[in-house]
Amino acid sequence: MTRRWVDVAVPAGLVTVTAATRLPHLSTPRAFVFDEIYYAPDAASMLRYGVERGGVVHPPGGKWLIAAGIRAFGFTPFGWRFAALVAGCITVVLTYVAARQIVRGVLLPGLAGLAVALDGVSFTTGRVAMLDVFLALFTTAAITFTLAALRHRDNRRAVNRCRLGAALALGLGLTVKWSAAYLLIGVLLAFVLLDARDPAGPRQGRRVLATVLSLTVLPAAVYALAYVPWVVNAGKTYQHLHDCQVYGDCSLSLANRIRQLVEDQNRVLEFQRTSKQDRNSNAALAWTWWNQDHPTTMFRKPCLDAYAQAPDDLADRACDGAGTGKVMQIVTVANPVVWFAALAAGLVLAGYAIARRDLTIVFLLVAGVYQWLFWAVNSRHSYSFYIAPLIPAFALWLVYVFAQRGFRWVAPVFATLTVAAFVFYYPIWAGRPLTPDQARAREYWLAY
Amino acid sequence: MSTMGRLALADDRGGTLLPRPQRHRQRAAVPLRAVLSRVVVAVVAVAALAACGRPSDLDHQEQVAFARGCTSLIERNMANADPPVRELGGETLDLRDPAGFYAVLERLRGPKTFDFNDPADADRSPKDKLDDPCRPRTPPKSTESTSTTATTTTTAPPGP
Repeated sequence: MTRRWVDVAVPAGLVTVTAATRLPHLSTPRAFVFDEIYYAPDAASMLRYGVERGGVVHPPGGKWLIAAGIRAFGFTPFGWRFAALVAGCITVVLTYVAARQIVRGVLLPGLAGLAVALDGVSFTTGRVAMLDVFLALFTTAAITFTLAALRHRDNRRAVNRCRLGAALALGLGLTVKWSAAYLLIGVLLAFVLLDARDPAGPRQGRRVLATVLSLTVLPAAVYALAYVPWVVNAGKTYQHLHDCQVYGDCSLSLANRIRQLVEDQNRVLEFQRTSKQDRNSNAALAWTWWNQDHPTTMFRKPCLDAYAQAPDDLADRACDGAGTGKVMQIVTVANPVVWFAALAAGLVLAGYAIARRDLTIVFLLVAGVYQWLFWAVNSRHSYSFYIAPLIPAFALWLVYVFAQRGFRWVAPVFATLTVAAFVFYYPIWAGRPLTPDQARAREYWLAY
Repeated sequence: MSTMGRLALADDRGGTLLPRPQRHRQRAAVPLRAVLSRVVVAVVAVAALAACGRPSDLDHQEQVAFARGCTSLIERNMANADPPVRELGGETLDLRDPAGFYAVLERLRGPKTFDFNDPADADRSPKDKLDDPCRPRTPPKSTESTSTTATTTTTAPPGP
């Protein structure tokens, strides 16, 4: 009876904490923050036409989720940010569920969820209409299913079910950003290794084949399904309008729709291949992410008394209640306690991986570095907030280490310091106006 | 036994780590089937919600949102200028006179200013459509700073 109550209370508490910290001032500023200028109008276009208009560089999945918020609450900052808020809350709960696959009880899993809820990258990406929070949601779901499979490795039915869940989650992740494919490789290897432990024979071969097929065909099918609205509404896409106006090719045959979709995919691929590092002051190479010394300033506005006189239909309210001299900024930078404790936990975990040869530990490490390593060898421009999908894995690293003898005393210290750091950094994560001195006090080590 | 086999068979050893459950003897820490089915239901529900039309006053909401976004961009552009004077659309914007500043912006703003759904304009990104009309210029014969601020984003998407 007690167990059942706790099973509900801890996730409910985590959702409450996450929503209660992220919901206030969600509509501030009433202007587009960073890449919201792409995704919010794209989502509105999808409601209007079924497809995005203009240059598109990511698949439609995340934008459909943003569109759902706009459908529910209108094309307002709250509407276009609502889906991110919900996705952030679910990611926190999924982290808790994932942690329950690797440690006993509910306290440490609860701490894992809390670490994600109070991390700066998760917090800021969970309050803007961008894609990273949705990628984090689906990759965390895939990690959860994989950890559950590893835990129930002797139960074939449970493993198959988890494999299906991971495949669907990764497919959904691919519909948000292609970088979900990086995790797919790690998940595929984990399930193949699980199959490999079975006795050799024809059944083993079939299992490996089934694993490879389900973790490639299913995600691909989900990805293809996300483009059904595109194919149906191909006549309203920029690709078609362009072909029709420039080349006089106005055919809407199925073959032409598919051809235009392939061209659209090639355009996305070309962007990913050719977009280099030197275009944006916020860009940060992956190898510099480790100390968070180049965070992304998503929004910055020096406040003036004059802004108080803006009429309602022009006011962004970024500086509400703040006069000349203050500055409002939203900086995507990690909670230093979570970040550096996780890096230390990663080193400990690497030691365990070598000493214990445990597939669960190896998978945890892969889940925490996959995004990092691939970006490190990729010359495409990147930003430190790309670590958003890694934060849940970092939280899992932490609680795995906290569960070991010799480290258990660290958990309450970590929890206390994490909350204290959250309170201190909250203004630059939530965009609350600060004096220049207050803002400087929150500048991050070597940053700026 | 192969290396892969040894790797996969290794057990957890930490005191508070979970032992592997025995087959059919211990219930899962979470009901996986229920979680999976709820995830699928949630995704379908979201897709259905998004697919069932659009807000009735989407056009008006877009115009208001872009007008606020445009004003915010101009304010951020001029906040550190000395003097805070710029030109936009043939009119002078002076932040030292807030009432006049916002009156000019109200005048400049109109339904056509933020028409983001013109098919002839479909090749331009929303960022370009916002940046271009919302980038005030330094008045001629002025010696003040000429820096301008565009919306802060990752980068502009490519053309077709």
